[in-house]
Amino acid sequence: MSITVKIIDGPLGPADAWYVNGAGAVVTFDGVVRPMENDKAISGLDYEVYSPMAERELVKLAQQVMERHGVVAVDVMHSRGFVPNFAVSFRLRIASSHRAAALAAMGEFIDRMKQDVPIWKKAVYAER
Amino acid sequence: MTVQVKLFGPLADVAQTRLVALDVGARPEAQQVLQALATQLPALASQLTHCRLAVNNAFATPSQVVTEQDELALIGMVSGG
Repeated sequence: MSITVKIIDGPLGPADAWYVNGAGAVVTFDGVVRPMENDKAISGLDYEVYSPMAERELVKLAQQVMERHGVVAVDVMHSRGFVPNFAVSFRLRIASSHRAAALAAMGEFIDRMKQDVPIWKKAVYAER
Repeated sequence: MTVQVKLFGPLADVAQTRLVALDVGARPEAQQVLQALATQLPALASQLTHCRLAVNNAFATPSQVVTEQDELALIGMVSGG
């Protein structure tokens, strides 16, 4: 079982190859910045991260979903600072023996991250 | 004694500061720190029911005693992802 957590300054780049021994399913979720917020055009989102608590909460969350769903690996990255429209600000990869566990763990992780992990986003509105 | 509490995100915007110094009694509990915040920053009072106090980078229980040496942070609604 393995857990990796990274906070990255700015947008996340393309995902690299991720091979997990024993995994028959690897599920990847990319969170992408939408160009609209509250019906207004934005240029991007600015993320504030309270470190190291955010990283610790992400690790704790990964441990809990691993135990609950029996997945074998969790890899999570989140941006800090400005991320422009259409760029990736959050990536979660979960590997498991079979797809059902990875898909269930994915949903639970994201739901709980939005409750417990001290990260905040602020819209940066586009100039008119 | 005096404790300092870090603020983030929308709460920092409302309070117009990122660090608040609070005078609290001896051996205050986390819930007393939140009450002191509501008194000193009334603009935050209505939102504090949705907030938790973090002590040394972990969520505190309401009855957890804090000290001047602890790092305190007010964690409101988060919005990562």
